[in-house]
Amino acid sequence: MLVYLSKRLLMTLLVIAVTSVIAFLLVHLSGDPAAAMAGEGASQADIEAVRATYGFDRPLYVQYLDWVSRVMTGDLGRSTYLRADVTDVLARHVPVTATLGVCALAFALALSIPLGVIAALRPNTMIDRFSLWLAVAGQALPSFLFALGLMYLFGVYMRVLPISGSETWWHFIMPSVALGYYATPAIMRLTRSGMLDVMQSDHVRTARAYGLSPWRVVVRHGLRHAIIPVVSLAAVQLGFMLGGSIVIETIFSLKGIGHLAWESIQRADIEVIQAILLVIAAAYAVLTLLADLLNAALDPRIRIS
Amino acid sequence: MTDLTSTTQDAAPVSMSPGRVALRRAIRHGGFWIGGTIIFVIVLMAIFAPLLTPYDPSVQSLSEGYVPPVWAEAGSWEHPLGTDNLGRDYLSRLLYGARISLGLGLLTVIISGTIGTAMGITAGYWGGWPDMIINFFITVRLTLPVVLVALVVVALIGSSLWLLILVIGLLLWDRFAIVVRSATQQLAQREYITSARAIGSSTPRILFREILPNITGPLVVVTSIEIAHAILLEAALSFLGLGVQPPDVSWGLMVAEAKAQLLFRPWMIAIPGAALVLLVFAINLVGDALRDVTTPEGKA
Amino acid sequence: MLLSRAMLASGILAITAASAQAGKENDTFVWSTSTEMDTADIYYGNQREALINAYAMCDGLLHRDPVTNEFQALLATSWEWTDDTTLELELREGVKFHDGTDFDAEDVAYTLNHVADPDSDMKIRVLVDWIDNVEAVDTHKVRINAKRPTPAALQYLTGTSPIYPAGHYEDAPVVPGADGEDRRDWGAVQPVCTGPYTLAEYVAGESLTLEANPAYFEDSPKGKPSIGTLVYKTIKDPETQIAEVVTGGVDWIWGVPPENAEMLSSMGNLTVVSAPTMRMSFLSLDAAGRTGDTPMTDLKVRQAIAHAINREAIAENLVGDGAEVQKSMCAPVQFGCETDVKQYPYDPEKAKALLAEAGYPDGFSIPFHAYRDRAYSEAVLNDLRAVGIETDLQFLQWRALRPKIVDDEVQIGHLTFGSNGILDVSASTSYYFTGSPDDYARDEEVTAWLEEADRTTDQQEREELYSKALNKIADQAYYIPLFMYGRTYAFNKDLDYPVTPDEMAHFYLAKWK
Repeated sequence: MLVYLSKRLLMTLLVIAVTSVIAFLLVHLSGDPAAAMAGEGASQADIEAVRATYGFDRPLYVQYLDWVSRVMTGDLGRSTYLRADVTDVLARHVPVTATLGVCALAFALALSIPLGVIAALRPNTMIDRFSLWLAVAGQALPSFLFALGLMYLFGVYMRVLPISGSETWWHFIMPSVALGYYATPAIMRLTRSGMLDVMQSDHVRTARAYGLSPWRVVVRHGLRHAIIPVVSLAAVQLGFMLGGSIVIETIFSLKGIGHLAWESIQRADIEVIQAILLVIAAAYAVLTLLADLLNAALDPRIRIS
Repeated sequence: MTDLTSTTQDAAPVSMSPGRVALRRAIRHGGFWIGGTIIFVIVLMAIFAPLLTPYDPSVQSLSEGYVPPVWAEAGSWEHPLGTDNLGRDYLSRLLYGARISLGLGLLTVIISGTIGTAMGITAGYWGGWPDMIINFFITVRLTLPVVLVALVVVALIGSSLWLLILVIGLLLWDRFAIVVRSATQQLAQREYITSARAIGSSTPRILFREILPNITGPLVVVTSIEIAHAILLEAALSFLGLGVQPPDVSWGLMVAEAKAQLLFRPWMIAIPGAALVLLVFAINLVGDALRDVTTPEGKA
Repeated sequence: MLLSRAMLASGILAITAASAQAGKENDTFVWSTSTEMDTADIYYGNQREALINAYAMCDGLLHRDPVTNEFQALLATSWEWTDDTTLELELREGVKFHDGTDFDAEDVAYTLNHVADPDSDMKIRVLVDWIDNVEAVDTHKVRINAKRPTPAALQYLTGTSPIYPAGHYEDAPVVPGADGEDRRDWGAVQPVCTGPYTLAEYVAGESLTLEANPAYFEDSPKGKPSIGTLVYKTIKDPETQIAEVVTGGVDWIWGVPPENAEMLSSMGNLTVVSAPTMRMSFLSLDAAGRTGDTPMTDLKVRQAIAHAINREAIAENLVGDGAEVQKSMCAPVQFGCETDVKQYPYDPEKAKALLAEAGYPDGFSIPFHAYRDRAYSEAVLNDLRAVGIETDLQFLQWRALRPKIVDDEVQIGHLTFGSNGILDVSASTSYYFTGSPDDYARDEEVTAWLEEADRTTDQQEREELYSKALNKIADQAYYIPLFMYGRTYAFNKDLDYPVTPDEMAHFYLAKWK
């Protein structure tokens, strides 16, 4: 276990390191940051001044090492646009996205696990077909269309939910549904196939033979085992949600990191973009690491191999 | 909008039965027929767009903007689906838009499929070091948020159709790599492959003659998923203003252009929106059907 | 709330109390736009949102009445040019800053000297570049020594140049530049002003809250504030803004698509108004050949482009109420804007003929750069395509387009400019035609006329010089003026405030009905 753990940990660190190089190169090679930062009305001399002030005239690897060594000390740089330290800016925005991600995941699980279980208990029936079709249809709906539809229906037409902002829990309902919906088909499928396997296992058959109530069999003996892979999938899905919330955050004016990233891209606030790419990558890497460790802890086969 | 279907369960095991059995099952599969028919109709519409409409999709008539569709009170058969803000015929734009949406989906998948398949076969066939390195690349790719990376590149370089295709193609190869890798791994342990190796068949021969034909099942499934994925990703980029650029038109762009009319002229967003949903739905349906027929009964 | 505490502990957002509600009953006015402000200090940000807030919380030396455009006494009670380059101003007595300190001549000298310093990083240099230095003559009198005769000086001393207390910028944070060099981030200091509203809270990128200043001086031309709290918040997506204003979550938005104006006003709870603005929309053509060999260097091609575009239809049908055709390369309300110049009526046949004469009987294909209002750019390039000019649209964010303009890469650019709200041609025509990186005409004669006009005090002489320059720009079709933007506003029916033609919102004048 210890060997496996240290191997996985090393891998995660390596992934984050490579991602940091990619994040840096993406931002620096895609355009001239100095000209972009100098802004409207800047002359060639102004741009050269910005280049010198921010050190964009140095070789790329020097700039990268400089950035990385600052990141190591916890200094993510400064947002030139918002005139604040990136750490402070992220401290304001990360909780919004984290809340959104957790709520969205909670919604996805609440919708997909029951559907997956029911589908597995009645395979190839109407309800099974229905839930599969729902999954396929749901994934065909672009998230922005779904979000706009929700906003129109619940925000404008029925006026039961607030439209934009993140002041109360009510504000998170529509964005969580819009974001979480896309994780449901995958979780539902996995729950369904997991349940199918478990329900056919000797363990469950024995439990049934003992005459335990069907509900008890499903929850205590079936779901408990089928849920293990779902938990690790959920962790991975949460990682995707953190990176995929740009459109949803923009529509519902949630000031999370997706919204911040999109704004920062438009104003070439490069240290913020780099930091967000790094934070999302790290979050994803850590979440998958946790998922793997969880799997390893629950499934002894992995530990040995 | 990222890879929201999980990567784990798409790694459908290689079909146990010969292709013919799979095909027979596909033909019996309702979803395959429904999805296939929708796609077929949309493809025909895209190909024969110039014959189906008398209008050029980008010729404007500024004084005739926002004509409602024929079923509305003020609508007429002159513009069956009405006109957009610049007075362009909405039906023509929809028909021509199908070309870009479909074409973009196909071209990106050619790029991502080639990269992903090459990586997957390499990793799955050789194992060992190549496998570790490719696995590492897949992990790195998965940690990078797709929408965000695409936005950074497109925003700073400038959006064009070819750049979009390239960027999306270079981002969406991960699922191909994962699925092909596990499929190849399973095959590589089969007897006929090991014996082919033993009798000294050349590696390219084994790869192209033995492996590739036998992983087409999962490959086709992933291809369908990724076409849908690419079309939706373009739509999301268009929504943020960085997708397909005029005079080209895609369904995603039409939705994006119409969103200002959501409250007042809902048909403008509903028409391209429905088309987009229908297309992606059909592709997913076919993909799902193919997944069903290439997987043992009972499991999906 | 156990749940929120648990959430907080796990790094999840803890949600505290319901936010301030918009509307008359709460005496809280909430307005919203798409742009995030980069600073609350107007000297260091050039967004309209910052200017609107600056007008509400700050005072300049003079006030320009937004309706009559007359100069009125604000922090200065009288002013006089004692010679061509010396401006003396008497200051108002008994005025206090929001932090309680008294306002006097030292504050004026400090503020203006700080921003006029070439190293001040101040954004819109034209506002302060004319100042050599400012002296406090006595406690309530200042003398501004100009570098050169500056006829537009009074314009520059209005709301765009607020006065802060002496020593204001001393708190500016020291931030690391490259290679360990430190620099000061002046724009990070929160403004302290004398205006009708005080700054209650500023959250960068999100919101800015102002509260009425009960101690605001009596005889200010800006009047005593009426509404208790003004809240500005950013909502990026225009559709979300509309949904909010329709449901009363927000009291005021602008930039409403004009084609929706009628339907919005029929909802009953909103006033919808369209007004002209000073923002011009034009094509910058590379007549100087900065991009290399380009058809744009040919006068006939430029004239063909001018004839190809149906400006009337675009202004009337697309941009809508409040918009009008722009006749000359300046805003008509600006001093010196000569509009009686050569016009190129919409005539695709003539455009084709001119292209043929220029040696392009089959047209040509060319990159077309744009950054704002894609639909308008699309309309223009559809017109160009109709005469045979195929365009490759490069629709970029401004921050990506600007470097291309500077680096000689833009053959045709569809640009817009609001002259920073300054009612003088020196802020528009002179900005584009005096050899700056934005000047793709590079006509030395035009540059010379404009530079002379910018520093001539005789008004008639100035007008003649500007007229000469604008006539040549039109004759040569250097840039193609297209239309003046209109803006459509939608706001709470309970709100009473003057919608002005300066692309501004003077909320300090607002009242609940």
